[in-house]
Amino acid sequence: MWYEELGFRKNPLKISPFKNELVDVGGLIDKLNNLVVEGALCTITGDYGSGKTTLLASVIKRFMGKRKVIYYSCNRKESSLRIDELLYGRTWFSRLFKLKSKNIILLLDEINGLNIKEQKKILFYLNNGYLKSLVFVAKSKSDLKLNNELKLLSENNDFRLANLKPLQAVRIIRRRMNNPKFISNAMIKRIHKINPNPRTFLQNCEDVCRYAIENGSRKVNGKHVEILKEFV
Amino acid sequence: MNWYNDFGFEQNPLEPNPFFSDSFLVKYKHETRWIERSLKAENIVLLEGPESSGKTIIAKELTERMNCLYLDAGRISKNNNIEKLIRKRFSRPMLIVDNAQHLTFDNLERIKYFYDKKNVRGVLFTAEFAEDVPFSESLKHRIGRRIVKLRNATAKDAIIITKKRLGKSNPFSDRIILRIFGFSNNDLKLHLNNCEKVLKHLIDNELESISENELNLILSGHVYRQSFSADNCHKCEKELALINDYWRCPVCDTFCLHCGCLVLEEDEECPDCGENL
Repeated sequence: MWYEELGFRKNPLKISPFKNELVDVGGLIDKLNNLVVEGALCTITGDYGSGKTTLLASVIKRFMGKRKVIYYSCNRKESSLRIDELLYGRTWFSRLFKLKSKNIILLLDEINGLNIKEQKKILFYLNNGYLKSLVFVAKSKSDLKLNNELKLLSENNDFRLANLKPLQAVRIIRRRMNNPKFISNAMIKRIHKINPNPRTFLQNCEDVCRYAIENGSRKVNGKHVEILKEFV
Repeated sequence: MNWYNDFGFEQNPLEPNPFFSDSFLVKYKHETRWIERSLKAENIVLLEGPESSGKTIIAKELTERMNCLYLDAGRISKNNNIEKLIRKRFSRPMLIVDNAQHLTFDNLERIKYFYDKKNVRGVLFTAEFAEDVPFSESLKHRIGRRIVKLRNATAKDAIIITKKRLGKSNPFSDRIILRIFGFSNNDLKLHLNNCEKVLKHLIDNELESISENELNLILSGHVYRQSFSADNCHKCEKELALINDYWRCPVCDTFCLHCGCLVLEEDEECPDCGENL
């Protein structure tokens, strides 16, 4: 495997959200965690591959295992969100007797419009101690379609994730694989220029590194980056 | 005892379904290696190719090289929740979904969730047309450009594959293989079935080789077997006569009256029983 040649046991340029660190962009992780601990309503928005689920993952990791976090992805076509069901918990006992848990941190991923009834229920649960904090994740603010009260509550707690800047791109690569002899900052910036979306950038870097090593080079050069242009 | 046992094969060498036989990869070695490496690097890959182009046999090859969970989406009910298969596994397998166009949107999203949570290491989707698979935008984004396209089987492929599968037992010349392939509309699976049909005919009639005329007869079904009883000839509609295990049309077929074996018009003696015609 290409990364084994560089001394890695596993692929350092993986794109999976749940076991990777988000390169800490302006202390976002700490800010989000503090808000969640205090009890707040936050929204995370950003394009595909910009790091939303990775940011959520930091919350999950922090509070996991204490039965305090519920993560739910709303991307279904066959069933829709039922907050009650989520709050009944995961044991058959609580589900049978319809016992709702209290003080829950609810993470709602991939929202594409919440219906009015559910939004009212959310407000009710927030005000009555069932929900401690809420994090809404969606592609853009318009996808969220929050009613006025929820909008007000989340006003200052808006995390908008954007494309990478060149220096951030360099930092991500250096954090994950610090081989400046293999891939220079200049090369990283060239790859970043082709597409600044975080996930696409990582995939492009992986394709370039893999191509370079499988062709026997010990250093990434312009020729290797050229292969990305075939598909763009 | 099956016909292939006599040739020393334990399983049918002309079986088209890769999982029902000991079949092996003949072409696409480069693509398979690329896919294997991508899956090990925990990527999601889409394998696109027309029918009979070799998608399932690549999947089978991968299952033999790595710890894989193989799933044919065409064979499971759409109401099935795929979560039960994936969730509680201690090892982290690769997931291979064949014929992904039959997956529901929700099941695809579940796969995406388990991929994100690292319950599966890498995912390979297979489909005839990428557009037919109901991927969500976010899943498409994870795949990116990692799409491998296979091409239709060519005549050359058919020859190589048939010869490799039959090995020393191959009675067909290259030309005959080409004929069978053409007759099968260039569909490799049908081609293998037709080769088996012809091979069985050779064995049943103890022939060493076959001419092109006979080939046409056999493949277009003018050989009536015992199971076809009380049918009429589909050329002249006359009733068939049963002669020694073979059903023959007295008008259209040329056969030996004694044993029923098909003969050519110019033959003077029946090759089977030796009687004068």
